[in-house]
Amino acid sequence: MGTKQALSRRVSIVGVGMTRQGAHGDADGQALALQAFRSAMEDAGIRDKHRIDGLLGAKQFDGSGIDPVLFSRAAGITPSITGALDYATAAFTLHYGAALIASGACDMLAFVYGRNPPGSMVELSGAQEYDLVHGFFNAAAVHGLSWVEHMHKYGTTTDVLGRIAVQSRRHAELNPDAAFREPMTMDDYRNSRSMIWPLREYDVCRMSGGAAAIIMASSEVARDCAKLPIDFLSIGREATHALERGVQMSFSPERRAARQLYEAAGIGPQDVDVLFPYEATTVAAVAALENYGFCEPGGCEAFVGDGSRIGINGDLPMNTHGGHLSGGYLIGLTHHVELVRQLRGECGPRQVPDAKVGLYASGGGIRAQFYHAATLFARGDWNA
Amino acid sequence: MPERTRPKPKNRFEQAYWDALARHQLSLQRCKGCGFVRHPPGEFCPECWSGEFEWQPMSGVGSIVSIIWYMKSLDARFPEVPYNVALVRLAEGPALISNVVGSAFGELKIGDPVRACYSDEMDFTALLFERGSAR
Repeated sequence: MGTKQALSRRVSIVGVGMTRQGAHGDADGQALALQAFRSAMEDAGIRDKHRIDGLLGAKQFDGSGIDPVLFSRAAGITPSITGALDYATAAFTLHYGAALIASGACDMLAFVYGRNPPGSMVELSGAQEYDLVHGFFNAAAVHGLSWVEHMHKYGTTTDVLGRIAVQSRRHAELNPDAAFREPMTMDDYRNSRSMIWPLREYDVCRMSGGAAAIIMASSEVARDCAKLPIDFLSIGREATHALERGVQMSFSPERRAARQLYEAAGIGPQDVDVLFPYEATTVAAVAALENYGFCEPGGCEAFVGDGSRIGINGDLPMNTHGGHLSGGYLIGLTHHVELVRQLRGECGPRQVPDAKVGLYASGGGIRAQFYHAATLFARGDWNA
Repeated sequence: MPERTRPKPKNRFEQAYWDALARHQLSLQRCKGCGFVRHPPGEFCPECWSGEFEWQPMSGVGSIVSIIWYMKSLDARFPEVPYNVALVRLAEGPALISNVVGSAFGELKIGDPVRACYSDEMDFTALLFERGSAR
């Protein structure tokens, strides 16, 4: 079996920007996205907006989202390539953008996204419809099916999910841009309402408003930008068989995505300084620990322990901005903003000491399949 | 038990599946090329891509692969809670999403044997399961 080759041109993130996540009155998603785009351009030190030659947006399953053509018009730019993927959470879109840059089709590309959905701050996120004859909907349902299997097979309990939720909230308390910041304890978690058993209220992320933007460039172009570029080291991808084959969806013991990711970068999980799992639910966060080799299959509960291990000063700081669970749901984009800021050393009270390598890992169910997409990022001196 | 939303068959194969359920018969397509039993219904076998198939009546027995319970109504179309959604693997191989009816919360677990039953409450027939072995 051949090993995936390195990209022909190196690709870096050169600018990040985001709005506060949370309640935004009647602001529309595109206007929020334009604010985030402006701050990402300032962050990158790019004064001429016409240097952006690629623009990617993203849509939700209900058709809402950022149309890259309409956004370009609103921003007064004329990128030569615009696009939005069918399945577009952050890693999928950034991988597409990285491929456009690596191929030479673009030199400097922006990924912009913003939303201010109805039910912001109240309703559960994850609106996906799988089978309405049987009342099977919401992404949390798929995670729930996976977690029930996990508990059955390994004897794990929902306590580990609670530790994830509580630790995410502790991080959000340190992040003024996070959507949900009121303190939360394990007792609060255990006493919270059962939503889709075995998942409780605090296991599932809620709707919130906000926007973020990422500017990427070829590594040669990146040298002219204002901030330390954060490089793509490698990507890992995997699609599982469909649900009707009866396979475990969230947990992926074959770990093809992880193998591809680590082999291409020539490193392993022990080299990761900070981990950013995309978590529609707490299950996705513990799945990332097992899928990406931070612990053995079934070992997530022992690994997480009382939660301090995944805290800012733990062995494996995780979702230091509060993740989706407490930071606010934004298709994994705020995870990338935080990852870049961590590797640059800009995170103040929640800075992970000397963070040089970051891993973003996502898994998502669409229709009846499940996809994994992950990226390893590093600062230029990571292996110095 | 959830309120049910009428199925919208996308092609004549899905239509045939629902027509059979209306006769209280669970039938899936068995590939004549390689023997694979597929679901959801479609024109070609996802294994060998053959278009030759026959409708094979299923035994209707299977077991629970995993099960969740909607404890709070999250959608106005499904106001009645609690209800479960289960992934059921049929003895013939494929797995289906359905509801296991007739059991209360806490009474069902992974591996439990289930058998097909049918609901005609709406203006279509839904395939459901109940706890138990073959009749």
